[in-house]
Amino acid sequence: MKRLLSCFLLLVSTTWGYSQDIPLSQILIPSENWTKTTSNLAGEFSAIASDSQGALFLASTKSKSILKLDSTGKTIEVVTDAPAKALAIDSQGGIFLASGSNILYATPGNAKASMIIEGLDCVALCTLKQGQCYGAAPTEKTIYLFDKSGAKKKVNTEDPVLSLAVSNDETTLFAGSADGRSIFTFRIEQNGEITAKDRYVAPRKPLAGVNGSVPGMTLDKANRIYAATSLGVQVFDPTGRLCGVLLQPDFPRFASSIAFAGTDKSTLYALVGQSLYTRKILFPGK
Amino acid sequence: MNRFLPYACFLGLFCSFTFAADDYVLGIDSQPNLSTPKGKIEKSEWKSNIFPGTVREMLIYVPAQYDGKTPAAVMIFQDGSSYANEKGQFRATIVFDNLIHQKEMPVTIGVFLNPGTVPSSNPKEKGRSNRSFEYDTPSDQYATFLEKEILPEIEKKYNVRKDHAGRALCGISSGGICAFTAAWERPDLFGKVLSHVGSFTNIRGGDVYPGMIRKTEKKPIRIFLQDGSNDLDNLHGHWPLANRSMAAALKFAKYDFVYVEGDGGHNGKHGGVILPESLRWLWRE
Repeated sequence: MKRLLSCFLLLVSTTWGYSQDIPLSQILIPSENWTKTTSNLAGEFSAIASDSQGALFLASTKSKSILKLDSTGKTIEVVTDAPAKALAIDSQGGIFLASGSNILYATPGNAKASMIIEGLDCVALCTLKQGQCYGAAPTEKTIYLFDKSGAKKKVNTEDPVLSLAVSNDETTLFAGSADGRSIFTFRIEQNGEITAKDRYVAPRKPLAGVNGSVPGMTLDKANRIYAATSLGVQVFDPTGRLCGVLLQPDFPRFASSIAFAGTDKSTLYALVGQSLYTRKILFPGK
Repeated sequence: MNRFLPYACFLGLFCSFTFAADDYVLGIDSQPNLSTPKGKIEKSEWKSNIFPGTVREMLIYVPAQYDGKTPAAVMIFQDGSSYANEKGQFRATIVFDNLIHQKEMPVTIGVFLNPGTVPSSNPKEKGRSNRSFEYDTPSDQYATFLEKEILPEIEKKYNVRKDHAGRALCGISSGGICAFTAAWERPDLFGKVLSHVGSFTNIRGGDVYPGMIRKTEKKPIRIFLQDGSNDLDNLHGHWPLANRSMAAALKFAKYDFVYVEGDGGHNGKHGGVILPESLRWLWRE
């Protein structure tokens, strides 16, 4: 009897946990839609990112600082005097910033960011648990790997990419192409180098006459890919198959940066223009 | 009452995974016959450059009748290990033994290819499956992989036919559309396709084929399609409708094709039972 019950529960749990062949109806909450944030988050922002605890970090264009929204809804300024077009939080709570043509790093608890790399123009950043950070420099068609000491190396020099994300097990790097035709995958080697590039995911293309791109990307805990595109946020299963397209929060403008944050990381944040939109999702973010 | 609840739940769940009749039974041509010479199987691992970083298992079946002097036909199976499994739904090597012995299909080298995996650099983590990317994408990448990597490897070891009519492709589900895509892209290389519960749906845009078939000059491909009326209906599409649409387009464009629809679901039961007949039809002169 116990064995039968265990089999049943195992079957049910694996069925629920199965991350493929899932339509949007099993990802989205029926009554939930995009909501434009107000009050203290009605600012003007250029980039967003989240940490592993679900805190959201926002690069403010108005105050040229980095704000932190913790999971209780409280906002504090964590880095001052650091306008940023991309940011990423490492596992220690340090913040990598792409500011102008430089890369800055703010150690945890320090409101002043230090320049670690001069003359590197990145539009997307993504950290590894070991402390390294990937940076996408589309004007050079290069993906860099660097650390907070400023040591850097080129790990791919083939295509301009605008967004980066790392799988939950940190074995795969996803990179959104500037032309919107592909999300490349790379195998992440033990030293952080990336190999085995392929056009693993093909986002739905925009109508003729509309430029495509993948300016923002994030993953959920099941390794589903959420890609901000000109058609809306496109969701792909872990094998790269399209689950569906979320409507744009503010048609015809589209999200440039997206991140899961909040309690259980179950809220998807999208930056549209300089405004922030939120939407509850059934599955938590990475 | 409560003590029966788990049983009832389990039964209900189990029933949701089974479909209609789907009670197909393998025939004599799918059974080993002691008086039939048995082919040999060679197992190897293939590392690809066309699909960078991937590794995959490859089984090569060589029939007992192969003499190395007369070029043999070649048939490449996607998801190969499931087709080659002698206790599985298809038992293709047993069927090959029987039909080749009966001279109902040519002496044929069987290539049983599994989809690629990109191994993880961390031994504790699973590799990334490349199956959907390789099989579901309507592009020439898989045909190029076969042309540049697999066929040369086979031709290096065996004396095989190089004409398109002497090469066939077969697959189930995404492997079915993969077989069709490779032949559609390179009909000069592959002239025969056998698809079981083929995913001609919008997994990665493969639902475009009926329209393309109707508006493209007929290609020299012979096609056998099989599906079941209780096949999948999900976010990617409706498998029976997609296969019927393929069949209607192939009929419109006057292809040499057969479409057989049983009452099964998304599995190889029906396709396995009719595999001997399918191969006789596909390889007929």
